[in-house]
Amino acid sequence: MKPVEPVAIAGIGCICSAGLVLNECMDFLYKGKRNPAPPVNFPTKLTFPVFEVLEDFFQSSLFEEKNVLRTCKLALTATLEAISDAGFDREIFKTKRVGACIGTNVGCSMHDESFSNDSNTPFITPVYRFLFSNPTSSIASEFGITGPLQTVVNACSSGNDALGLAASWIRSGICDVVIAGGTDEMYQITYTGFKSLLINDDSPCKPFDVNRNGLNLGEGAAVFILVSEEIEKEMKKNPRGYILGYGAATDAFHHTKTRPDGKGLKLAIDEAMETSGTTPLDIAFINAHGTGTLDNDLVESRVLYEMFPGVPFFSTKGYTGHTLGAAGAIEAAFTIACLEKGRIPANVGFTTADPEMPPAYPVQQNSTINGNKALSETLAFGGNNSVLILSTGEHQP
Amino acid sequence: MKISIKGIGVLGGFGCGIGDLNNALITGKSSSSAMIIKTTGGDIEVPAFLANTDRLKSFVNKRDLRRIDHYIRMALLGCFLALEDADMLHANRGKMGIIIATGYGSTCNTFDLQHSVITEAAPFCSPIQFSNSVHNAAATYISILLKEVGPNLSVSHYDMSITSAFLSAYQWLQEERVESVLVGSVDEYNKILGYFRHCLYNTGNGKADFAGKMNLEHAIIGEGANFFLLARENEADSPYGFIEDVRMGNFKHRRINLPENAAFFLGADGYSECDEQYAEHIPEKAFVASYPHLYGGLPVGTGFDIAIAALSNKSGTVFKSGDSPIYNSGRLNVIRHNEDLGSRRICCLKLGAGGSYGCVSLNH
Repeated sequence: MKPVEPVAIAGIGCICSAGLVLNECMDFLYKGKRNPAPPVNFPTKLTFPVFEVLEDFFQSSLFEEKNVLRTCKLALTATLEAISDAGFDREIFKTKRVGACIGTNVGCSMHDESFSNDSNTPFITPVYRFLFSNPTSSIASEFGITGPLQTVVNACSSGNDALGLAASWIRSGICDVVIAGGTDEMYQITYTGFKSLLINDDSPCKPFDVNRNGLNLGEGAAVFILVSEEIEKEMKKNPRGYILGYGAATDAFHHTKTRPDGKGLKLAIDEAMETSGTTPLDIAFINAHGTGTLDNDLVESRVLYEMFPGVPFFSTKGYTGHTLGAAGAIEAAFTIACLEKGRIPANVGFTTADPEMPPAYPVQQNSTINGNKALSETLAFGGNNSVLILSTGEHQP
Repeated sequence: MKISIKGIGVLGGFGCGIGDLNNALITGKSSSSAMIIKTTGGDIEVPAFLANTDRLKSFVNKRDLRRIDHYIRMALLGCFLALEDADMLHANRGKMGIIIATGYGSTCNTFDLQHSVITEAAPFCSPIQFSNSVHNAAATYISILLKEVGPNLSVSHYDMSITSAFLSAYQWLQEERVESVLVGSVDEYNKILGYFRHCLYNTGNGKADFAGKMNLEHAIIGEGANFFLLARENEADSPYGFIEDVRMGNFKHRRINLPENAAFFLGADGYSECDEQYAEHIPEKAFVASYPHLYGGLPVGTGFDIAIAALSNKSGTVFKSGDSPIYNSGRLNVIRHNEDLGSRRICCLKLGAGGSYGCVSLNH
């Protein structure tokens, strides 16, 4: 792959258990807080802690799209923040070539529980609701989008992949603006499903710690407004940052386990570095996937030690839980915010190093960083590995 | 940039493989099955075009198939058939990307899983059932069995799924990110879709709001898979012609810009409120055809239209269209008999939910 042109990030919106907007989330992270608790938004007899958005976040008066799934409501809320952050109004969607590319898991599943109210005679209403509850469609309908739409369902790397793919829509000239990101709600099928895989921790998760015992699930959404150089020039303020490069590769190993030699992750990192034209020395920090599962954290720490010796890294899953299809986008949003603030949060949950891991540990307290480029990575079921190289907004087109 | 189609793998109600699809196009027939759905109001019968995956055993060990459901089997078979058709099954494929589209995902498995979680006294689900319910499960099995470590993308956007998959395939090849892309789509029949069809066409429930005006015998639910091995033009022969353009948009907000000298394959399958609107968007007197009478109504039906367009390019023949009420306007030239393709390109057009549209254009 050849180096590619940076794609400007005009605005960002983010909602998760850490906060209803990106700034709130960052304050929460820097304070070292976290509030995992048994789920309250759906019925279950299980008590594994999760990170839900407990507030009544959806301001229905602001949207035409009201009768949609929670996953869509999270996405719409984050989109509105991103549009406002960019300084745009809705008119831009009528005059420019605008696309939407959103990652999700729950948003595309035939998961509406009312299907199962009577297994023999499913109601027709849930069928209709499924057809119109795709988060990308909700965004397109709400904002009158006229360009390409894509809903990425690459499991936990969906949000990262959506951002990388959307950036290529801008570069190739098929869009002036792309609304891109990820969204997922807490839902009892995934909650129970992860339990069946025995990778839920029954206490707050501990990414990279020797006593880590699995992940906590979470929910949320993050949405980026990506723009072309032409739009960037027209903007009245500097962009928040840039997508410099993107890489993705597959383990070809197992459905739910990480490939022990980290080959897929290494290939994804190589592609992201090549396309961004950066070297490991350029990377100020790494926002790792760090779920708190035994396999993921072991493989990830080995790859980071081998490829980025001495580069500080951390996981934010201890603050937000694993938000699945939203995780990549939420963590990319955190990465940009950290670059802007010159500071990264402590890897909450880590206290004791794992002797199985190489001698490279996540940051244990909030730390200042040097540099304006960072790497954010996600690993996913299916062996998907996805890597973004991001920077702050110094590039002038 | 043009993208060549090196191989095609298809399965559905018409049979298995590009040869069976070609035969169905010549005879104009596929065979449907009568599916019985038990309801509290009594049994109902729904016709469906089902896909048979027996041929998968010739590509994959029985042992490797034991945990794989019908949905994933269809996807696997479609991939192997496409690679076999391209003579790339055992060749060095270089860096290949995999892109899989689905409208619904693995619905039978997902509904079983959902039922067990919601209705059991203790919440329980099978780990295999859960991991197979994740939308990228089919892509996972394909990457593992083919040992492909390149980029791997799964997309699900109802009736625009396959067009958006082609859009990404086009982008990846244009960026020289990969040397080839195995792109395709899969969807399966399930009883909820059967009941949905029953409500639309037999009871009048919701018909006025949503259903296309397709005749009962035409709006048959389909299932199956369609896969394509794509490469950049200068790196391959193109027996099936080229993918010339992939477009997506919204016709409610902006007019669709379509070429004059083209044949249009329309994705009107009887399940969309947009089925009657094709004539408004296509140039007057354009040549049109539709083939859901061979593969059925399913979100990824456009993939079959692309396969049929590729067959037309290869043979130089446009195959006779199925009948459809959408032709009644008189504005369109319906292809009633097999005819020479000539210099025309073929545009596979799908009008979808919310005013979305997708158009994949092929040339030869």
